[in-house]
Amino acid sequence: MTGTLSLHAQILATALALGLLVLILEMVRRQRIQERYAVLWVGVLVFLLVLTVIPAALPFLAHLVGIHNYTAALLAAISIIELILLVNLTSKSSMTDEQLIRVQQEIALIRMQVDAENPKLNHETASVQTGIIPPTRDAASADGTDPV
Amino acid sequence: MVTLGPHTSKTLIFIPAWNEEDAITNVVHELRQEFPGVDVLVIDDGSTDNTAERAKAAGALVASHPSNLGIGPARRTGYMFAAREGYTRIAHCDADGQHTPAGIRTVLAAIEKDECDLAVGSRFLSPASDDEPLVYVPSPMRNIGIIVFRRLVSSVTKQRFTDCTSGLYAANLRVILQFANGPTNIDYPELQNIVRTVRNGLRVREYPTVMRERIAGSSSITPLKTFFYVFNGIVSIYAAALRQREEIRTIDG
Repeated sequence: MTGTLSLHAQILATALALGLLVLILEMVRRQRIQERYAVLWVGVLVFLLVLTVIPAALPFLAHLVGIHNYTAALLAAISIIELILLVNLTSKSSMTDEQLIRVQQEIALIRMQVDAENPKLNHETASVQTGIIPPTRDAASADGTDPV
Repeated sequence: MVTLGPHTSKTLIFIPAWNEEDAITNVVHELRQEFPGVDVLVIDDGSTDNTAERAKAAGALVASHPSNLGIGPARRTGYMFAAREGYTRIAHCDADGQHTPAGIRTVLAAIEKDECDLAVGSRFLSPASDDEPLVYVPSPMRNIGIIVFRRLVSSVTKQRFTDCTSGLYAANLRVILQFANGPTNIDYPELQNIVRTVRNGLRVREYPTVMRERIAGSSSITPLKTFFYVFNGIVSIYAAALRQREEIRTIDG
């Protein structure tokens, strides 16, 4: 089990990496993935393509890190790459979270000021305009006060 | 900066609230009665009930998040408002009516007397007087977290703390500026707040306060969340302990 990839496996792996690369580039073209986030993916896939297209590359790298089973080396490489991508994704998601939170905090504070300056502009009209705020339910009937 | 009406006082009491329509009216009424001249702000954290309307009707200022952001960001909105509107002292408490006006007065008085920069209302320090009838007894699950965090925070800060998850604070301008800026733990900000404040060289002190039973609703910490709670807490304590110190600048230093 320590030989190089069979031709069959090599063709399959190359096709898979190439297919994914095309998919990523197509998603960038359609603006489903932003360029800045696609860079890591394209780099990873080009690396995988090199491994599959040049049969000597995998044994070379495997010996370099001291793994003699090439299949295991390939799987290990892919696992590590996936972990890096996932950590990257979690980090991006956390940063996006913080940005969204800050934006909503600003909206809350700005809306306070707008409401204070324009008492007529109530939350119903605000919700129609932005579409974010859920409409208030039976505010007037629930406690006998006007929601404005 | 546009100001929201005349500010006769420089003290703000703010209350983060998420779907607390059953309790919020009483809480706001009580605060307005007990602290005349002090502004009361309710941060409606994306409530889907009538929390915002009732708070407004009860006479509070209301800031409404478009969606539910969590207790950490909700408190930060309070600190941001205080910083921008020129308040020099704040207190914040929970929206469920657990914190008594006496407790709020205790922590606010500590700030007024400049005994510390951040005054934390502790449920576990023995109270100064025995005439408060109800004593807080945590559930066993919650107790685990409380004991673990008490030890961790005390060891990291090298200062003894008894109640690291208290929702009752009073703070001066330095702490207002600190919490208005920078990161906040979304789910359980209290632990990090204490560690962060001590690390930044500010004075944190606990004061005995008594808690009431909740007026309405149920606690947001359920037994199922305890594991997440403990791990999140441990990570956040060490994150706060290992972060760079922040420089807190006020105009008067």
